Amino acid sequence: MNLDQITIEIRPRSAWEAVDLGVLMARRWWSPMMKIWFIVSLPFFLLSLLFPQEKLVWAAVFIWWFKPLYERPLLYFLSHAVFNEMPDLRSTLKNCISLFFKQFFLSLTWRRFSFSRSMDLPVLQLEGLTGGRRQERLMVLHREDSAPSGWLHILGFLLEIFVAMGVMSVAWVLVPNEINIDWANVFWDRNSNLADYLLHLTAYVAMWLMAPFYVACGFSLYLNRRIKLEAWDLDIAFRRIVSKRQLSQLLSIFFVVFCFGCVDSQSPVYAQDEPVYQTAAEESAVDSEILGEPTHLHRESSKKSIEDLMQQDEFSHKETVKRLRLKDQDEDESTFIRWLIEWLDRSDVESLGLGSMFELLLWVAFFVLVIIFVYRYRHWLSAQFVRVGSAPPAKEKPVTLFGMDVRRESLPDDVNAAAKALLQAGDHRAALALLYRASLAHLIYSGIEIEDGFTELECLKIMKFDLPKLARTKEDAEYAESRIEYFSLLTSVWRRLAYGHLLPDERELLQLCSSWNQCWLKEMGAKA
Amino acid sequence: MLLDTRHSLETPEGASLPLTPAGFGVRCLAQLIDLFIRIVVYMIAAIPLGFIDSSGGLILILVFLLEWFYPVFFEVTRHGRTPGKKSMNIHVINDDATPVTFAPSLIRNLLRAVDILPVFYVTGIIASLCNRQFKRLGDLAAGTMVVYDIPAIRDPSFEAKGQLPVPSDFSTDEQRALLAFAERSKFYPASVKVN
Repeated sequence: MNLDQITIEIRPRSAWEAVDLGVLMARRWWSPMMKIWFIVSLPFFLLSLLFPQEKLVWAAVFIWWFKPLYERPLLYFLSHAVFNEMPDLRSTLKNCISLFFKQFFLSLTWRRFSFSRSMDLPVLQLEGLTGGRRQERLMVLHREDSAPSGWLHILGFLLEIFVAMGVMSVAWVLVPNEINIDWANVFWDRNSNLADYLLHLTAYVAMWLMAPFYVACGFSLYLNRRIKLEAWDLDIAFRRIVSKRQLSQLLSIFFVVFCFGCVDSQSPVYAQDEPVYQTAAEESAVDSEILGEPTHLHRESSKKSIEDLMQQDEFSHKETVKRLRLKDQDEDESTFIRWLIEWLDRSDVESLGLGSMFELLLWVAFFVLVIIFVYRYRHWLSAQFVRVGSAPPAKEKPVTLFGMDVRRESLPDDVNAAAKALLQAGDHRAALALLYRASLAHLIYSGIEIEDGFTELECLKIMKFDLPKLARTKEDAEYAESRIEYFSLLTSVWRRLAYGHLLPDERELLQLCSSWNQCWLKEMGAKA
Repeated sequence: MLLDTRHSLETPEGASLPLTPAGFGVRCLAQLIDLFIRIVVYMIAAIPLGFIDSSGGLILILVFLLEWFYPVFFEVTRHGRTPGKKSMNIHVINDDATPVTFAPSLIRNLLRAVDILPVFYVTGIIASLCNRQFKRLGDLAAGTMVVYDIPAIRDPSFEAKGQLPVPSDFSTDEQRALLAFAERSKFYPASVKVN
């Protein structure tokens, strides 16, 4: 046995996979196996024909009974073919006789009914074991992965029957109706000659067709068991490892020898008496000699060879792409419009093909759809794409400050007069309150953002800060100045009176009362 | 070329997927199991249907649905495995190793009607013996094949202890062989004679 020569892939397989490998083996060596089986079984078939006609069923049984004998040459052939030593027909047949008589009696009597015959045959025939040793060996082989051998037997038996039936039904289908054959009589009439012999023949053909597969599958199961038991796959793998290492050692030896050779050839250089010095010019000359011209040549030739190479099928990838595109894309806008006008001018629109009419209609429909879409979702679109800063909510102008009504409408028409009247009545507090209130109302009205909850100083501060900004002209700026002055004075006086209960100077009060109208009633520029 | 049941299918990415097509033997058994399951279903269904008058039509509908769509249903929803196939560890895939989808599954199962001719799938079996992927006519038409499940990879388990590290120039296959030897060595006698 030489594992290097084996023609099947060696690896541990599952049981059913091994059966499939057997099918492949039978497929590969189909015709020699068919020949062998036919030659070996033909004498038995001829013998069976000697049976009297009414006992022809027994003739079929006779052929069937001796099946183990026809399988032996097949196994002989397979076992050699697997190891790449295909025996020719002659040598196979020569071995037949000796194969036949190996445990002839046992095989044809009670072992004839063994369901695992196909898998057990190699033990008998190839290993040559008998008696107890054979039993032990079979026990080892059947410990695992042998269930398919029984199924193989059953399926093979069924297939033989069904193939025979198939052959008959094919014959039945293919014979034309015009030929009036009484089929019931052909097959089932006991008196008909033809039927019996046809049945006999089809049974024989069915056995013939199935035999190579049965033997090969059984042998494959046996091989698979041995591969697993004896680790053939590891054996092969380790052999490969060893041979590769040996090869690499051999290569390294070669390499060493080769290097030594090189060194030898170079050694005279070192042995020269005078080292050779090259001048720079010489070196550059040498450089150009080495590098210059060859690259020039190379560039031309290599470009050409690359182009040639790229022309080959492996590198050039051509595909036809069909794509819709606008006609005359490069025409500019004006020509397009001119074309459109020309087209519209043409009176003979009917001469246009139906296709282009439809195209036009489709485009119109498309644009209408786009417009409808834009209109329908305008809010959504504007929300998505146009970010308009929404106007900040208008701030409510405060209605009351410090418990005083600061609406403009609550003010008297003439603040000066009202304040003076209060002053003369002796109510300083009310007079100042009126002035202060009127000032605040005006400030709020002119746009200073005085909020509810500000203190007097905060009001002052914010008006000092904001009022000049509102001024547009120089005049306005002066008004703003005077108002700031007035309001700061008023605020201090008011705070002293309101919180400190300190009566202000009479003259100061009078001045505040009389100057309010003059100071505040002038409108500031455009700011109304 | 060495004879092998395994094919490798090369993907566009350059990876090779090992596929092991399943032959007629294991598929016949799977088919027998499925047949047995269907028969049991018929028997169970026949008991309540027997109490209904003229239930022949219902039974025929049941037979129609089960015979034609039982494999399609399981192949599409269970990754190509009918109960019988599952118990035999085989499944149906497309030729490009993708899971079988509805259309190929339907085609391959409708063409059972051809493969089963004249009796016992003889046509199908003969067809499967004629190509390397063991495809019956339905598989050929639908572009499917039946392959063995790939057993789950177990963690390596071995008691063997090496004295030296594995040489660095060992290729993947060589390391795999060493690993397999370490794993399986406990099943082998001390000295295996390979002659």
